[in-house]
Amino acid sequence: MSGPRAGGGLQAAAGPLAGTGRVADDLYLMAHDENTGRPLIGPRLLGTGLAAALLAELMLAGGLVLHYGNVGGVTVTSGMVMACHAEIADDLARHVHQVVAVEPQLHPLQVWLEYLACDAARNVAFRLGQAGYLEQAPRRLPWKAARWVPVDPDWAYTPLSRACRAAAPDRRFDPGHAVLAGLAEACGLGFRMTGLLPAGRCVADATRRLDMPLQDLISVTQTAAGAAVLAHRT
Amino acid sequence: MTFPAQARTRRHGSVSQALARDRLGVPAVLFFVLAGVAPLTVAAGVIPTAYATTGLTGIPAAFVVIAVILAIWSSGYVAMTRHITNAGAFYAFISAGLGRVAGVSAALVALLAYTFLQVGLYGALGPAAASQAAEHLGIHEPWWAFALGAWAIVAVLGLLRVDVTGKILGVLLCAEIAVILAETAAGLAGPAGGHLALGTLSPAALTGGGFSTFGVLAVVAVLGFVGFEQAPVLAEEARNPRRTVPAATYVALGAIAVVYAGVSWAMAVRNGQAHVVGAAGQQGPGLLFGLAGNGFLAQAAPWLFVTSLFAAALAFHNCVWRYAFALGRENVLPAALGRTGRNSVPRAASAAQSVTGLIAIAVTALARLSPMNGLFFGLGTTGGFGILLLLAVTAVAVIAFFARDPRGESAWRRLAAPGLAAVLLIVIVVLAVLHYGTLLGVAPGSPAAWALPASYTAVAAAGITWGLVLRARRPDVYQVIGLGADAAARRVMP
Repeated sequence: MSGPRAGGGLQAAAGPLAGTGRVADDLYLMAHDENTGRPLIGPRLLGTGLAAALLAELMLAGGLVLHYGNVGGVTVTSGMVMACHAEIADDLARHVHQVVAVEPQLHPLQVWLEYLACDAARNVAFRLGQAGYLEQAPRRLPWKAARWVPVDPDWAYTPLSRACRAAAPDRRFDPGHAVLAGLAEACGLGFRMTGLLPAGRCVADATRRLDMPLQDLISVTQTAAGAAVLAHRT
Repeated sequence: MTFPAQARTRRHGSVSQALARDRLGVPAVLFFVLAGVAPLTVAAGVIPTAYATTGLTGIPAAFVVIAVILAIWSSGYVAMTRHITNAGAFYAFISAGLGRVAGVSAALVALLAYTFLQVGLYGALGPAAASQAAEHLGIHEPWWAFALGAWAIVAVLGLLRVDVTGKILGVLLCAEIAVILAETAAGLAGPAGGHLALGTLSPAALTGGGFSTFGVLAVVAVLGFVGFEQAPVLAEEARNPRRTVPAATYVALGAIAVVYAGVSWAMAVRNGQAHVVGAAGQQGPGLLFGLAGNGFLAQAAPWLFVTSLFAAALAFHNCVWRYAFALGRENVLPAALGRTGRNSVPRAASAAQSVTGLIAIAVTALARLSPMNGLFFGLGTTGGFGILLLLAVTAVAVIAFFARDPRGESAWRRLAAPGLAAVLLIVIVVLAVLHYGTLLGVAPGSPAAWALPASYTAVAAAGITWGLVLRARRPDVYQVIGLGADAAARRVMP
């Protein structure tokens, strides 16, 4: 029987409910209805959040770092994204790493979020399809784009619980889950976590334990998300 | 494995080049600005009502003079946009120039002004729709029924984050301008008395009822220009903000001035300067529609007027919730206004504006006030007066901002232009306040003549008080006032 293929290691042994182990995959599933596959947030917020999640995956794997201080004689106050050598197993993450690595000049997080946001949703959906979590629904109209729907609603729901558990004080800290929670709140999915977070806890309880670059990523994502809401183009 | 968008970088070159292709150029920014101005709403709604309500004929000249003043004002405004990128525009600039306490006050004044402008539109939309429905569809219902219907549609579309799509807006905008130009040409081609009279365009017309009437006419003209100040709001989405924003701002000013001065002049020319006020009182929007006779244009234009009003109501609704969202995000207003729900819509902010509109329609209907004169013109001009206040204060803020650091801007842009504009605008504000009754067409001692302008004093005072409270008790909130979307990134970078 074919089934979802996880990122490897402990996740594979735990089965499909454990997810792929990738932040962008979990965020995508959180941002869509687990039954219909319809997006729960607007396209610009979705793209921004998934772009940030793709960068987070690489930062967690050591493939990207943020450079502060002086760049080209100019003091920068926001992190400039730099690619580092790292073994990256996932094809999409490797593609994003390659894009950053070949770019001739350094760019701040904001620029990479804007650039990657355009195609992030399509690419992450494709990756989830390859992993067996999503399947393409038949087109209702010939000119409509194919829609990805979850193979199993329970598999699609578990990222939400992972994000909420990240704020629990009695659990082993998982930076991937913490950044997932932070990015979910930043791109407007906080309403999904309302009522599911541990009593007396909030997302900040998880994100403040992250390294500073990941906290910066979440802050910049929040800014970009706010700008996306205010934008005159949706 | 090949992903759907893997070749994007190779196809478009560097990241910067790829992003630039997606940004707005001058035509697109100009389009957004002009669409927000709602030209037919002004030409068929504001101008005839202004003639009838104020009894003044210097409206064409006022558009020309105000365009010149705003062009001078824009020099400093546009210069500041090169250093402050914030979709909140006015209050962000005032915060940067005059301090955050003043910024909070300005934000509340702006919110009130745009709210007046938005809810006032229902006062024209209801009667216009009712008139068309009665004449062409045989449906006879009171104006407030149609106003409530339009309100409900705007409320739902606002919650769904549905702007009128760009293509539909483009078609409507082009049609509106075409109608206005056609009516203008027809009106000038058939002048009363057989010759083109320039009296309403002359500077003497501005003070025909005394020097103080210039203030009244200026408020009407500023109302017509509301929307031109939105170009810097789009700076973050523009391809080359340093060029795009100034170009769009000045082209919009020029286009608006020519169109409105032209059509208001045509109304006076067609009916005669001595009779245009009376004709406006009798015909209302028909003062425009009848310029070309009773042909196809006279039949089609009223329908376009209804769609223009609806598009303007939706556009201003979205403008108000954007302001409320930005302020909620900064915690200047309740944080609930700064949160989004499903579909990325700030539902609380959108719903709050909808409730305001409902109250305005209900009060006007229950008190049996004139929707056109009271709700549309009364609140609309008061909204324009609020924008006038913000223009004056922003000019002062520009001077203060560049006084601390010239940032390479010329003396004309950072001092002379905003200084001259500030003086002229403050004079206009004082004149308008002293003769607000003339603006509304009510007796000087009427409660509306002092209550409406005083509402800004109350809101500004509340804003100053709240700003001081935030400074004393919530320094974390106070520090990010005026930063807009950047307020979310509160950590100071190393």
